[in-house]
Amino acid sequence: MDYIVMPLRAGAGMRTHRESKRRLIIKTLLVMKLTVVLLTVFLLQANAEGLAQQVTVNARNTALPAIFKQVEKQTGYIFLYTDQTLEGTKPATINAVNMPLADFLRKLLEQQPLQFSIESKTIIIATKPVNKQTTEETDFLQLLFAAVTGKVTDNNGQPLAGINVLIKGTKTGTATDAAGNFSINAKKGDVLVFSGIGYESQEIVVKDGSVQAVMNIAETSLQEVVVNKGYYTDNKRTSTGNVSKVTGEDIARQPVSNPLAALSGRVPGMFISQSSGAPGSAFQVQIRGINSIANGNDPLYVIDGVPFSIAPELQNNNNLNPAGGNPLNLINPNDISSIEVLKDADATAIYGSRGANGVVLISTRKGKAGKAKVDVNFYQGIAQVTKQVKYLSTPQYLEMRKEAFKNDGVDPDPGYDFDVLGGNTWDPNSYTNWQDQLIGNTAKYTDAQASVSGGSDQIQYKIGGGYHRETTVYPGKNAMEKASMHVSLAGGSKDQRLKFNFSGSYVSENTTLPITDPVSIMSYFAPNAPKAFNEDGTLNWAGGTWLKGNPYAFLMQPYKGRATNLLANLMITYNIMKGLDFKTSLGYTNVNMDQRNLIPFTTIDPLRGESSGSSKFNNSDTRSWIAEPQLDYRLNIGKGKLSALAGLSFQQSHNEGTRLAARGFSSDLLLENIQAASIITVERLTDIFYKYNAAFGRINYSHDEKYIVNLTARRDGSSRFGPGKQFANFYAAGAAWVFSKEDRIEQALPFLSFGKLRASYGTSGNDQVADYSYLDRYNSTVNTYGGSQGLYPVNFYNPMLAWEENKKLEAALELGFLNDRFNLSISWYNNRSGNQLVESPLSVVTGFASISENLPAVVENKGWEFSFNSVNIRKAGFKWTSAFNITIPKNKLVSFPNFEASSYSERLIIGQPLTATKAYKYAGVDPETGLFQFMGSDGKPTISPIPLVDDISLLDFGPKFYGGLQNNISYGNFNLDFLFQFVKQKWMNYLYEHVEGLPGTFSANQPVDVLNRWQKEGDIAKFQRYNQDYSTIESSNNAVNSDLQYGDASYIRLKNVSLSYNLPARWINSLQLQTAKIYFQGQNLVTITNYKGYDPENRNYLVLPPLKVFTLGCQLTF
Amino acid sequence: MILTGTGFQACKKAVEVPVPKNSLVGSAVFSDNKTATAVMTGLYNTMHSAANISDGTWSIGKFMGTAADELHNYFIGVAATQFYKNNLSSNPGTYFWDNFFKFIYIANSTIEGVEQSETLKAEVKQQLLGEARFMRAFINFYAVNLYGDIPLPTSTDYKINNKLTRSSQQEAYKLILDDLQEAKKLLTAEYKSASNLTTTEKIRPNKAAATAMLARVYLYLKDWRNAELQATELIGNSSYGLIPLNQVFLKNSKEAIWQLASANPVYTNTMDGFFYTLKTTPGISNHNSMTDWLYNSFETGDARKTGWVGSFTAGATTYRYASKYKNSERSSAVTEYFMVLRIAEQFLIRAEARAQQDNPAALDDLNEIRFRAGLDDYNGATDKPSVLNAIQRERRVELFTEWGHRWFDLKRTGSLDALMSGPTGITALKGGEWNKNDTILPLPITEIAVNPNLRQNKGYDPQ
Repeated sequence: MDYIVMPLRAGAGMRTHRESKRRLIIKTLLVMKLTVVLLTVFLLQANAEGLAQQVTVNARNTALPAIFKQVEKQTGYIFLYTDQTLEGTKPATINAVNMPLADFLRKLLEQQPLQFSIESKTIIIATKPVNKQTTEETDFLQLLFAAVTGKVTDNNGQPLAGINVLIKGTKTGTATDAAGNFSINAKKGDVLVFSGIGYESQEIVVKDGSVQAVMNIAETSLQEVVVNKGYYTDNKRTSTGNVSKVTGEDIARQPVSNPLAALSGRVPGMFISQSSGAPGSAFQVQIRGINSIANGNDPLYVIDGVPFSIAPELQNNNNLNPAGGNPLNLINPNDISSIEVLKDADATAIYGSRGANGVVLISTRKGKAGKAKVDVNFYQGIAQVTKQVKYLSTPQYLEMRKEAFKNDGVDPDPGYDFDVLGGNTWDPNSYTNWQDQLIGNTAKYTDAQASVSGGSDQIQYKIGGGYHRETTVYPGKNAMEKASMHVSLAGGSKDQRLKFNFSGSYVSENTTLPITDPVSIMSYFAPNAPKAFNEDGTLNWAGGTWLKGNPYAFLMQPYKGRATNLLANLMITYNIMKGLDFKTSLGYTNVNMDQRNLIPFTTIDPLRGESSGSSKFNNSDTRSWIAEPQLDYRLNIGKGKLSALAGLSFQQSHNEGTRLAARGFSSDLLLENIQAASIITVERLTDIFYKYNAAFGRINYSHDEKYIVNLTARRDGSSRFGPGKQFANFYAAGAAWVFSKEDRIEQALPFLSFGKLRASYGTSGNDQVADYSYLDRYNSTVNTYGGSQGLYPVNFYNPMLAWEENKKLEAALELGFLNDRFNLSISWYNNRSGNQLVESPLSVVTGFASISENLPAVVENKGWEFSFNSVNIRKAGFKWTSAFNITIPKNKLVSFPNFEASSYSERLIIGQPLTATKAYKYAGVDPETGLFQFMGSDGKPTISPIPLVDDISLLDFGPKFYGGLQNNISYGNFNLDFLFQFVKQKWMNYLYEHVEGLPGTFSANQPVDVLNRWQKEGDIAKFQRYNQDYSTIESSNNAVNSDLQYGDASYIRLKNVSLSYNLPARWINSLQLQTAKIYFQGQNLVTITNYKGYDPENRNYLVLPPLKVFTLGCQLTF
Repeated sequence: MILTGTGFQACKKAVEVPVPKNSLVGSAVFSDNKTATAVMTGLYNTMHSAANISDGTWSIGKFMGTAADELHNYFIGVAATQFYKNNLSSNPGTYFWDNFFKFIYIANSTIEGVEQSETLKAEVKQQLLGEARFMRAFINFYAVNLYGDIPLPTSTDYKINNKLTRSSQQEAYKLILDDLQEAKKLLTAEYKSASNLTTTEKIRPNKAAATAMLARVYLYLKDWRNAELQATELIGNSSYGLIPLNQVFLKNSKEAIWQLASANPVYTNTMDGFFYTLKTTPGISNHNSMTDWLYNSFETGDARKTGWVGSFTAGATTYRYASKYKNSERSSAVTEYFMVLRIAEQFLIRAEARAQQDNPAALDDLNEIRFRAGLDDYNGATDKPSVLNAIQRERRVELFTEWGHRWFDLKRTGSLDALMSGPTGITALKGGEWNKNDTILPLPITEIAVNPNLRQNKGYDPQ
């Protein structure tokens, strides 16, 4: 630690008596100061995770940056420094073998005017506090009394160490300690310049004895971001593959309960849509388009190295959750430190058979060495549906019905048409806005999180817990509650040869929702339908005249779901010899679900003749484990660096489940007591083993960080395939050229701070086919026949089932301008999926409607991804940054051998996207008959178009482009962050889906658009004539199959807003806090769209749209 | 990379997984007497489950009853309306097609599995082959009558079956006859249980069921002599006989040749019993009422008019309904099974076959049925057309709402078109528009799309 003490020896050359007197005083001061310094050093050390790392460097007269780079390679740590800092340093000679990192740095910087500090995985190099030879000349009294103290923090209020503080115009300076504190001899009016690598410099005028500085992170560090590529990490600067990273901070700005919701609009190439606004709803995620013709387009999710199967809920047919559910809901977003999305072959081939659709790596938060830190975060908020659909009012509805009778030439039937004539508790003139009633409530959000973290160089910990609750917009007591625990422990042996990293989390979720989404039946409630309740509070059955039942009866039939997720991962690393580590990753997950659907007897229309209520029970338990032993090797060869990795993967997953139906309960109070049921049926038994083995490897060679080659390979075996088809090989090669490091370019283009060209090619696979698909299985029938259980065939014997293979090609250009103030990244990709693994439709004449098989078809996904980051304004106390990304995807069915004869020839179109479909071309309403017309293939309008002949309109539902624009503005203690998300797409609107409720039929309300209808001969209208007896169903069905039903579903959405305010330091200090922040957050706040329906994101008029959410919260650290 | 090339042989074993506990693979199924039998049990089970072809809201009896003149429809479902108004379309209607061919697949896989099995007992083999051949014929009979020319899969090979063309009705009938004759040889007079033991439960087809179907098929083929022979064989069988009206539909009644047990824990008796019985005005929960056309066709004094017809009065309107099955409660103790084949039809088959052969004994058979219904002997004109007419009228009031008999009788006697068409025809009175092509159902549009070798029926899209 003498590197800091050294400047204090400056007093050595003092001669005179007066000087010696002064020397005494100084000495006293020095002792005091030394104490402080020693303390600082101690703290620094305690904070120095770097002690855990060892380095081996043999350098002779080598420039410091080169040595730093060697250390970076060996340790994965990153050095932060500016060129100015290194001014005046000399080449060093050092020989270290397996020396602890801190010792090494100490030795290295001994003879240099530099000091270091270690923060997380970053080594900050700063100028040593200026030699006290200068202070020697100043009056010691000034030294005593004019000391200015202060604290430097980042925008989040975290103290910053190693920040240089310099009095402007002098050489007097110092650096902050581990707690961010500093002290400097400055006087009022002096300007202090704060600078540090990775942060923007700022100047503050000294007003009194205390100065608080908040440093903004400089965007220059963008290229230095460390990216997790699963089995290894890489530096964005030298990465040969395509990896997008979303930080924990971005996730934390969003009041969402599912981490997937936080990724929308932020990751180029990743298209996400939320399927419902009900809590815990499913998400559709596509990375770089649809690769598989039939299904299985989900990416692979890996949490802290453990693959997280989305199968139990998404693929398990037993699932009772009305919102679909998503296992990633069983992850607490607050525990996530970053999410990396791997896209190209270079990044995904090492995941072999499961990398085809991309890989989403979720890393959870880890503790940092340092004194215990407590974080508390709390927010509360409200949510509402983004939009209501405009339905007919009562007069409009009655007009429609009466007109329909007139059109059909009949009179309303008093025994049936109560909505027109009244009766059976119908009052034709009443009005209810059923949307207000059924989805008009305000949902409430509550979220509380707390964590403690800290540790020493031997062990670091983070322990946290969270609670989240959100209610629904439906009437009744519906809510999702989620409680979670997360533990992270890391540490190692004293000599740091053995290291471990453990993370474990447990999430328990309780959900209550109505079984039936009221939106799915919304249009079946006439605006003048009877009151839902009788005066005595019982449900009004209206003599069996509800078209789909009493809406409140549905709301009183609850789904109750409990799900728990235990996730544990242990990574043990042992350093065998120089450069060679043996690692083992062990993981275990257990997802357990207990779901119930309850139909109380009181909610069943008495006319249905049921004698009791009924319930359904679904239990599912999925246990998976994974073991991945690996060898990791690093070698330096001159300017080159070689790293290699080889590993094996063993995985097993077992899913068991039972779904029971129970009926014959004597009382509704007993619905959850299966013992009280008189009839219990086992509806389904699930027993699925999935085994998976692989060997994988990676070789990376980097020459001077200028030329980089990365090779990866994997051999995979999966139990999902028939004998002989279980194993396959996957590989990829990636290369990068950091051309900005070429001297000529450096000189010719000084504004170009970074430039890289990279390309990759390789294969990955897809095994998302149902387990056991190759076996000709028979399952037991649900019910008995004459007291005996029967068997029924499930599928054909199909031993030829094999992998789907995806060949990925990518080329990209990454540029940084003006010291990386502006960064641009352009990627072009072309992925081709072959050997398509699909459920091919079959003629039912075969006995089944489909078969799983590999088709020699090729699907191409190509596209461009652009992302642009800029620091628009960077001034003291004011900063504005933007991040923009856009993806322009193109999907195409390239080839399909023997297409015409295949069963796909009517459904797909060669040369068109998989999302393309043919439809009739709407040609207005026939002015004579008042029925829909469609353009025939002969160019003449027709009322009855012929399927497959007159399908002449070509529609595509794939997104044309999508992306996001994020802005972050910080001004003083305020920080405003907002994200606009945009999608250009077409989709079905809601106009004609109601084939069971044509405009004019009993109790079927309609969107106001139908007012533009044909009424009499000669009318030119958009909609055909009203009809009350379904005699026009055929032309209506044709309209459903025409382009009339499709329209623009593009949108721009203010997806997320986060406004926060850091409480001023003096308030915080008085509260004994490190930081305190209050914030407002909002989700889905404003949507600009032409979409006809509830919401263009879930594009489904039968499902509750995503909600807009407003929350207020605070975050405290102490 | 060191590890990359190693250890794969060891891994192979490690990716083998056991067959799930809830499944058996085909070879295992047909190696055991009980599991092999369970496959046919599964077929009956499915056939009598909710929304299937035999019983309830999606049954042949209900839909063809509304398509003809037996039942009014009050349900606004697409299929219900289309059948009622004789306005079927190829989209979205798959109607009975899907189920028919799933059953035929099961029959074919049973035939293949049983024939290849070396471990099944000979008598079990014989029984299962017989049941499978019978079921294939039974389903093909309805398929050919509803759809006209039909594909005739006789193996489980999907590569062949996915490209089948439609065989002519003659070829279909040839296979039906062959299957039934073979089934008749293979099956015994006894009823078998799921354990292949003799039982009194008439819920699996036996030799008599094969005979009954043969009689019907010969009748449809106008092979009067053979129809008469087969019917005679059953009428002469003392195990079966006409019994009082209120006992006919009870489980295992003497009248029954083959019935289906309930496979549904809710509708423990029959779904027809639940859905036809009106306890409110017909509509959303109960879709149908009996037409006056049918109700008025009963003669005065016909005990069936009161015994097998129920009524529900709402205000000034009285709705009639088919009340052959009396047990209309859900989850009630089992008293009735769903009737598939019964002896009364055999009397009517023989009456018709005899009348066609100018045999005056035709009237004896007719009068047996009339007698049971409390009616006097037929005393109308005895010329052939009059007698045949009387037999058709008797079929109408005896077999109403059972398995679409009325529709098929009208169709095979060539009187369907005349009855339904025109401004005063049945279809127009039901609010639809009759078209000559409406006598057969369209193939599902999806089938045409998947297998271009399947051509659509005339009058339906796509041609």
